[in-house]
Amino acid sequence: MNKLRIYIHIPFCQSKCQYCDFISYDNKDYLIDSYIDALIREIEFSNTLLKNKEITSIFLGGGTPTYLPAKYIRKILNKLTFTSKAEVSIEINPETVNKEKLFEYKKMGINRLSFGVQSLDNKLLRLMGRIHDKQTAINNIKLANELGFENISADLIFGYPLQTLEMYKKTLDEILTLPLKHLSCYSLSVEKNTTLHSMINKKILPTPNEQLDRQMYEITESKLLKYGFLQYELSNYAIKGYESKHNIGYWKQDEYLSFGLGAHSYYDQKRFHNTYDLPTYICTIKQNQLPHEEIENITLKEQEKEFIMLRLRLNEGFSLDTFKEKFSNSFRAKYELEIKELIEKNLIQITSNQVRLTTKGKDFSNQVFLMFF
Amino acid sequence: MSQRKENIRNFSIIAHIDHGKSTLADRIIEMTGLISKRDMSAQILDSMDLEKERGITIKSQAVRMTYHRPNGEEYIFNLIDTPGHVDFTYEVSRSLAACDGAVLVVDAAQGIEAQTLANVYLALEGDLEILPVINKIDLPSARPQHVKDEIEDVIGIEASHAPCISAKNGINIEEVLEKIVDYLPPPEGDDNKPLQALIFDSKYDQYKGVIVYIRVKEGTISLNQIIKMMNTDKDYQINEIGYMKPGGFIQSKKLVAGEVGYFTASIKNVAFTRVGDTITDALNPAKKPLAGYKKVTPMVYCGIFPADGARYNDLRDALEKLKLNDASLLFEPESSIALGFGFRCGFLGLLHMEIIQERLEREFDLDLVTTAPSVIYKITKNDGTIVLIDNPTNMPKPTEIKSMAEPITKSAVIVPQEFMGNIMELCQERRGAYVDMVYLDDVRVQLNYEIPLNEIIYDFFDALKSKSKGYASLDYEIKGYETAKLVKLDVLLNGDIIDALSFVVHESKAYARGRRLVEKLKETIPRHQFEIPVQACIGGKIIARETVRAFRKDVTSKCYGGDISRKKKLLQKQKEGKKRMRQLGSVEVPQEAFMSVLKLDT
Repeated sequence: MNKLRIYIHIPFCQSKCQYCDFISYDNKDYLIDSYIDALIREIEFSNTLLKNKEITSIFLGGGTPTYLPAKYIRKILNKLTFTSKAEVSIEINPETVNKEKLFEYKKMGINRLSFGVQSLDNKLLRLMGRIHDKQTAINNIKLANELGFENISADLIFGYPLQTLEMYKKTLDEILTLPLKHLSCYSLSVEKNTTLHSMINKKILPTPNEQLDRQMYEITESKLLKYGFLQYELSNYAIKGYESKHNIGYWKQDEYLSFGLGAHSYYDQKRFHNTYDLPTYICTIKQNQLPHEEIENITLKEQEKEFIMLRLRLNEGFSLDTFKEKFSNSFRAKYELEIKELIEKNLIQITSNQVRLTTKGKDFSNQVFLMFF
Repeated sequence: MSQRKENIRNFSIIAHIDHGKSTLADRIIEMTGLISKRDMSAQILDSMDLEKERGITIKSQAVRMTYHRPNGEEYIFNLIDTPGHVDFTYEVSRSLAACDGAVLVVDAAQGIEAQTLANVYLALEGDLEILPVINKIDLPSARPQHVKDEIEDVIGIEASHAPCISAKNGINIEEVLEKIVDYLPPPEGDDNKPLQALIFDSKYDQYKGVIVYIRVKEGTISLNQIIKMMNTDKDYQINEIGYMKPGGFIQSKKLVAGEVGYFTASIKNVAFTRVGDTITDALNPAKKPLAGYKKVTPMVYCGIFPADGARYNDLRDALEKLKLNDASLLFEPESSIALGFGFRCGFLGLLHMEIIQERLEREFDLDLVTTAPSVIYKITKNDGTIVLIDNPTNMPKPTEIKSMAEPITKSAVIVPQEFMGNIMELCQERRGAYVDMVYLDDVRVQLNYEIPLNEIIYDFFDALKSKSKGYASLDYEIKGYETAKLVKLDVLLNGDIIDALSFVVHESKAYARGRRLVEKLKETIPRHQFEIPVQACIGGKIIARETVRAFRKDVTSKCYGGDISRKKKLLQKQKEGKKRMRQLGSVEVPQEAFMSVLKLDT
């Protein structure tokens, strides 16, 4: 049976964070019921696509999936067939869970929790527009662990305006005392159409300091290493064996089918996504149609570009043999000049048949990927 | 004996941009039955794409039509189109010289505007009868009576009989045709006198050679006749003659005094058929040429380089093709350390330059990098020799220069009085010397200044427009050379001089321009993995410095929800940006940077 990964998008939040440009709304609760109905029908319509596939991971992301009552999540998961071997993750805002909810999640087969902690500095959390504080985050992670969740991850953001190196170090030190197996530490990208972007433009907040950002990136790796967390991707660290299977799937070009507003799929060598407009999403499905848009055929040439760009995000990079096997071409021969330049600039390295980003290459990974575009 | 050619009317349509000149021309062509409305793509007279887009006419053309009056009489109309910009004032004046009258189109809502006046004055200078027409009367904001009064007050011509029309909706076009017959005079001339025909345009055709557009003033020109260009002294035998219909030609045996038409004579190059020249019979020449001929010389120079160095030959071929139809375009090979191989090109003015650049990019699909425009400087060296420099790169060392002189223009700016202060301030800033001012009427004043051409090519038109809400119009001619304290300003990127960014500037403005330039470059040059000093210097002395900070990361830290497409799109965009960069040593410079020297005062 072929393997398949599933992503489910919940575009609702209690309150939109300042830096967030994801598809989520904090003012459309009146559409939650119809949205869940639509989402469930979307899964039903896709039955043919799910047939003869083994679901190896499910990721419930958002928005804030945990903002919804647990019964909605149960309704969704009930529509999918998976075994206990599958990795089933849910993104959590620490403010929106309690013992009952977590217990429900456990019962419905969720076995991996991803806490959006972002920082353990209360001032910074307020600046970001987060609804939770430090103590809630700590308490709920501990609570989840006590309830038997073993695979818990937390997200952090660094490089935020006004965030100091000390603040970040302290967050790292404190978070490492918690029962975590996985950490995602994201360097801030200031996206257009966010409150943060306009505040920086109006000079209410300073432009992020890139030098400081890179210092924070460096200490992330060294501090986490002391606690046994190994970097396995540009922004991801895990105790060995607890890497996120679902996310690795994206980077290894596994097939995934996604449900919900604006959700992106890669299926049968096609990339497509659902409409980004909430009422359109609901209406289209009501009319018994799938809201797919921008269907892009991924040719072998395109697969190769993606392969380089995605695999190099991983610490292990890729092997010359795998490349040859997949694209019947020698990476070294085909990209001789590009490789020479990248090695001279100390952005990539090739040792014992593996191509990887160097430490410097991780800071300038887009410059590397560009060479193959 | 001179006769009136009662059944002919030779005229142009003059108008401010967007007042409906081309639309009216289309309606007149339709009404005279030359072409059905259905077959006609909008605005026939403007045949180049570029003209259609900008709504201006660059090259003039002419069309012959037959008008049947309701009373049964038959008239020949020759509609001669005119280019519409200050760079082409001379061409406009020659087109108008081929006419006996002009139709002045004024927008019923906007009234008279700046560009209208410059052409009206040219027409009046050429003693043309003017028929005013009020267009766009269907607009809710139309004020036809007010505009008629304005025409009488400002231009001083009778407007009470002006037809009120809507060219777009075909309202009252008939009246325009009737008034053309009634109010515009027929041509005069003697078919038997020695030939004098005015060249008002010419165009290269790959099968026929140069097609020469003429107005016969005196005498007769016929097939197989041996003719001579009186100013260039070239002779030819005519092998085709006739007149023009939209999109084609109708051959005939001859053209007589008062007629407008074309001929071909196996002429290889438009350089031999100069606009304004007089054609006569080589064996029975007229005593003297028609008045008003001028040899047009390029006033503005700039370097044009292919963005992709491998396309140098394509660029040369393209320039050669354009040159076939444009005698005023000059070019010769040039090389630059920063930009590689390209051409130094000479133009009539800034618009001419922009048009050529755009045509190269569009019609020949070339990506170009152009350098700041320059005028021709006269440099006297210490040893007494004089050199002419149109490229700052070739400037002798400051220590070898005894003195420098620059071209000075006699400039006339016509502007409503309310903006007079702004414009005087601008002229002062541009080192203009005030000559005098003439009140044209209650509203308008003509300011006469002597301004160095070097200041006019720096964005002067844009500045004029923005300081007068678009009302000011400019006309200039070269008065001569005057000594000035000029310096060459160089730009250093990461310590290296970028030759393509050098320009000549008056000493008094060097510091401000240098400062502004490094600030602009700092904005346009993307951050690299290292710091890049950007410096402006004069003769080795640094006068301004900025630094492009190094960037420390270029990373997409989160690939959210499997949205790989978005990440790819971002990379694609970044890639396209990179393609438009020039690699100068270790620094990548976007093409806009080379243009940023042009807009330092805005």
